[in-house]
Amino acid sequence: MAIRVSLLLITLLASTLPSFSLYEDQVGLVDWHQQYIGKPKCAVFHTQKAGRKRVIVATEENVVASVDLRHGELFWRHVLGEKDVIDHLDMALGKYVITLSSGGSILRAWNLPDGQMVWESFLTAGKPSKTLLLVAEKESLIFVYRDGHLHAVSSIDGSILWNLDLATESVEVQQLFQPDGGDVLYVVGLSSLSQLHTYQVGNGELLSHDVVKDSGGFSGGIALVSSETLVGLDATKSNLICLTLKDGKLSSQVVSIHDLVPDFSGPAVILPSKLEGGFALKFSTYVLFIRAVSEGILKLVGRVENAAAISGSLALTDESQAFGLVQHDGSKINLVVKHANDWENDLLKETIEMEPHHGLVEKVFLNNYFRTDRSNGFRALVVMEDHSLLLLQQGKIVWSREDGLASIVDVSTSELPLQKEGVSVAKVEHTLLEWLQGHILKLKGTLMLAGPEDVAAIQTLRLKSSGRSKMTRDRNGFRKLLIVLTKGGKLYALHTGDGHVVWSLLLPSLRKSDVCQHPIAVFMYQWQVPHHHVLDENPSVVIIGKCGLGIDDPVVLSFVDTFSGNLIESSSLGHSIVHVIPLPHTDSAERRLHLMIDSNKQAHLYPKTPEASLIFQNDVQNVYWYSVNIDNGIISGHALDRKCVVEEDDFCFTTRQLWSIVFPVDSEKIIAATARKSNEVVHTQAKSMGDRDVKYKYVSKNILFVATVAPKATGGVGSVGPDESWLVVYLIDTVTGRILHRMTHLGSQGPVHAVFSENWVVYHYFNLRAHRYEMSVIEIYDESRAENKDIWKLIVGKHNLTSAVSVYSRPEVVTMSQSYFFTHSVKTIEVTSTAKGITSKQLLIGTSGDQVLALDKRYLDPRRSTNPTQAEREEGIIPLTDSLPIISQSYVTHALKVEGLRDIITVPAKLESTTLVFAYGVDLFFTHLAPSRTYDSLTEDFSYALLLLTIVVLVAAIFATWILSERKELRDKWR
Amino acid sequence: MVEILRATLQKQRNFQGLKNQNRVHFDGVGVRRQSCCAAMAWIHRSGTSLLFLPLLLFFSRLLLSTDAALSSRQGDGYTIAGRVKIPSIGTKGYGIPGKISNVKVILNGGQVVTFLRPDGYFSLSLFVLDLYEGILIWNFVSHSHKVPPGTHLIEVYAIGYFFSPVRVDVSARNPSKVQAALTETRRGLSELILEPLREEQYYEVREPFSPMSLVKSPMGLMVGFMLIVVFLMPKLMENMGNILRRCGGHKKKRGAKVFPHWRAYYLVLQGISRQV
Repeated sequence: MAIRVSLLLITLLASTLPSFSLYEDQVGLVDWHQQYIGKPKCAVFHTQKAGRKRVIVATEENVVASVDLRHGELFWRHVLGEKDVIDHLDMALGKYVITLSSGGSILRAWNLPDGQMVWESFLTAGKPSKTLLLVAEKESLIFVYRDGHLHAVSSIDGSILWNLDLATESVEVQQLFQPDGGDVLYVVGLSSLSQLHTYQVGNGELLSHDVVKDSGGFSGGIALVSSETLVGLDATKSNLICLTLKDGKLSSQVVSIHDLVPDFSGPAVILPSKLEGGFALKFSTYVLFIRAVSEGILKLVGRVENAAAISGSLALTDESQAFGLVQHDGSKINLVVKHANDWENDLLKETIEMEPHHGLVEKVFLNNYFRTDRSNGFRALVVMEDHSLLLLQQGKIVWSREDGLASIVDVSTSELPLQKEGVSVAKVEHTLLEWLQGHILKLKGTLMLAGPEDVAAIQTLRLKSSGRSKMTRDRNGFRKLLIVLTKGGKLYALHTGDGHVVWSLLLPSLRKSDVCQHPIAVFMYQWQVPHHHVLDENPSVVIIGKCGLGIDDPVVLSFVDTFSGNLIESSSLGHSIVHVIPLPHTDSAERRLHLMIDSNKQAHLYPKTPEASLIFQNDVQNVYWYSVNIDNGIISGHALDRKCVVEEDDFCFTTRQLWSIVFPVDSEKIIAATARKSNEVVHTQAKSMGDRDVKYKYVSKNILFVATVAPKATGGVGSVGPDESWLVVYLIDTVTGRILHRMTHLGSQGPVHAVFSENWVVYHYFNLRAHRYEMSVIEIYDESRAENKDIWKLIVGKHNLTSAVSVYSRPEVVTMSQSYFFTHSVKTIEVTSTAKGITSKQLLIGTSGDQVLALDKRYLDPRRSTNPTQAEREEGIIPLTDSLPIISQSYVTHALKVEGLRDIITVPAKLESTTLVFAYGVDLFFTHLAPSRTYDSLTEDFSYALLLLTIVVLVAAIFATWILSERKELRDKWR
Repeated sequence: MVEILRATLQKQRNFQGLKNQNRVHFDGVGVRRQSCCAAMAWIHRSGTSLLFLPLLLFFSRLLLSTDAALSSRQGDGYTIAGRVKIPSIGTKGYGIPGKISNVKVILNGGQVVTFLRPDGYFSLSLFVLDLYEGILIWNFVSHSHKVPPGTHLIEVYAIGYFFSPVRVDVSARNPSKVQAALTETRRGLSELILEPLREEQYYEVREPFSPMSLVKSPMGLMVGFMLIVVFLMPKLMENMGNILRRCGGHKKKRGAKVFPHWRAYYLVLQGISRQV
């Protein structure tokens, strides 16, 4: 009977699947969410006659957002599709924000106050080309030029009123403008034959088409100076061509720059900033401002050294225009606002102290406001080199946004410093009284005695709970630093407690310079993680940056201390890097050894110290890696050969190719390759079954999962039918190149997202026959150890558990596989990782809706069957269903969205039950996750006050019984 | 709960008669090809009321194709239009109001992402799709029936609601013929009106406080046991005298210790078991 009861209990316990669940009042206790927009491309202010002053920005992350000018918060924000790049942003009718995106094919209008999309228009397809947008307020029309066509769209409802083919083949259209008060629209473009084309368009009809041939030719673009004047540079870049529009005809005059500036040198570039009545000409170190005085006559008005950015012109009144100019002056910047017509006097000149980690100013957008004395005040929105956004007003930085965090390239983690004796790092240490008060409040909450004020007090108390943002290590390993590398070349350290930026560093090696025009941050690795020397060494990371996208571009390594955020060292390498292998060795300073493979297939050992070389010596023969060439469909395995002979270099090794698998190009194309994480911890190889049997997992670290599809099916869903599409998955041993398993899913296609952990791989793909997404699981088991079940054999010692395993021996593996439907499309899949690997695993699925779903691995168990036996039920096997359940409580991101989700990172905490999850995209989201609930610590819900109360009651009861018994005894004695 | 409305898979030629606006019902017309120019005059006359936005949009598509300069190949873009209906939007009880402006409609797992108009309509342009699909589709289009046939997948993502993805089949022969079906329930849709299958509750609901939960907690059990010992024990002890009398017939002697304590408890327990 008792056995049966206990069995029942076990079954019950096993069948209650722990799903990630959260009470609403627990939001923000351990999780945080930050919203970003990315680096702004264009900005439009909306401050006149508006209660809420705001600026609308379109960014490089395809975000259109309305930002509060007072505090820098977001009113609303929309993240467009990945390929839906915004080219132009404007405002129409004073209430709509107009965006032109997708190479000019989608025109959308957003409602200004709440961001609701009002209308959407699709313009014809064609080649993506230079697009132009012009909003004609007077006629409530929007003109869009795109790929030879001029479209007129009503700004009220987005209907396309007319569409005109200008037949502008081979003409590169430069300007689209409408002279004041006229109905006539001008389109000006250049053709390769140094011809200038002018099209006059009135009411949907082409009025005239003029061609002006210019002997000098044009180079670069044409700037629109006023509604009648255009200016371009000739092919030699030493003459300006001034084009004047008169009676619908363009006439050109050539003005030599020498005449304007006698001592000019170097190539000139016309800056694209629209300055009414003039233009800016940029030379290598200085910028000239030139005004068009009258027909064909240009006049030099000013010269500015070290100009960083120039804003477009801003209409102050009907006649007067102003523009802003930013200059660098050491750590300060000068913001100068000038009248477009009056160069001599500054409307405003402010000097603002800048923090050095923001770098240089890249863009400036100017806006004015009326002071109480009716004079003009100016505010400037500044985009910095590190993609941050600042609002300057009255010589101060009103607010700043770290929008570089919207474009994270790589994430690493670092421990915080240990709490040292005598150094108080905690900001607020609770006294006992405060602690008790807090818990009494909590008790009141539990007993439902708390009033609304108390509830609010409890919530604030919990949110700032007990030093979650302390700058020291905690016993559970919850407090860490997330080291984040962004596209702008800036490194941030975010505290996992509340997500604040602890330090940030603009890496000098990733800044644009004369040597390196297009630096890109590629990878980041943990370089030094001190354990033994934890008190005297700081951990550090290495950042690998490249100059340009090519394989052979020079590489710069930067080493950064993660406690202080200081750059330790920066060195440029003499070779390129295509692949980095962190080795499982550390030197005496606990620096991890890294092997970097260059494009010449030579391996370089870092750090370049004799000690590292000595440590690595014994392991030279044991290093294997693989490379996947997607274009040619080749996967190959490599090993180190010998030291390089040519270079007298102790740290350079030649490599040899061991094996290669060539996929037939006409039938299979590689679309995904995933391997196990090198730092994953597996608790045990044995897996005990419900029927007291043992299976051994095949936990080799050298397995690669590869998915290939039919070449036709590489497009998205809907590009092929089910008969001409297939998906083949492989499990490949990366040391020997042996294919351990191969499976074909007919009628399926990509995109494939896969995750590999322990002995299983889970992948997500599209099933064309059912027309649903599917997820499959493959588990691999080692059969060579299957005989080691006999306990007698184990006692006598006749087992092969301790015998060495060679990767070259033929592995006896069996695989099990099962597939399930999954509702959503997926952006990324990750698996939870814990410190010892004991806790059961959950899959973290980043859906296309930018949410993160936690799905228990037990749902993806190939041993699931429709009718599990008693033993299997006991083991916790869930009856098979055709699709995976989506339990809304198990959304890790609860009611939030990680807009533009790109990746999910899991980091084990010291507490075995808990893992830290960081999801990033345009937004950042962090939380703790306990896949099997927190079995090893008291939850935050635990009421200490109730415990105290119980103890008090128990003590009181002891006394009461004691007194009672004494009395009783006395009575008995008297009787 | 999905509710099916009227089926309106309008064929192209029917639009000639659409000037009679009373007949127009445009809730979720499937895929429309543009090949006729009859509506051009109409659009100039029509008002610009938002009510007819999809209509206008559709006609704008017509307009594009009527453009003589466009090659026939380019004129073959088409639009999947539909509507998302969310009952009582904005009245969610979990803090964040469900806003229609935060709803995204995704085609084919992210190829095209679009948003809803204030009235819940959306349209997905496959022009855009073609642009990125590249040459493959273009060739296919130009050689076959000039419409990329195929089966597409539409997903709707709205915080607080669970939408089933919708499979949309565009027939190669007859491009205005469209079939839509919910993939989760495998139920066909006569028109593209998407409604959430269910609302999603992201938070556990806190159970209201009940004394039972307090009693059931380990501390509660301890207290409970203690109380039993304190209050029930003396009652049982009262019976002890009788038991003692029955057991041994001992006479009470003043000042003499009758029993060692453990013996008394033993007998009490015996008494309990007898009573049970």
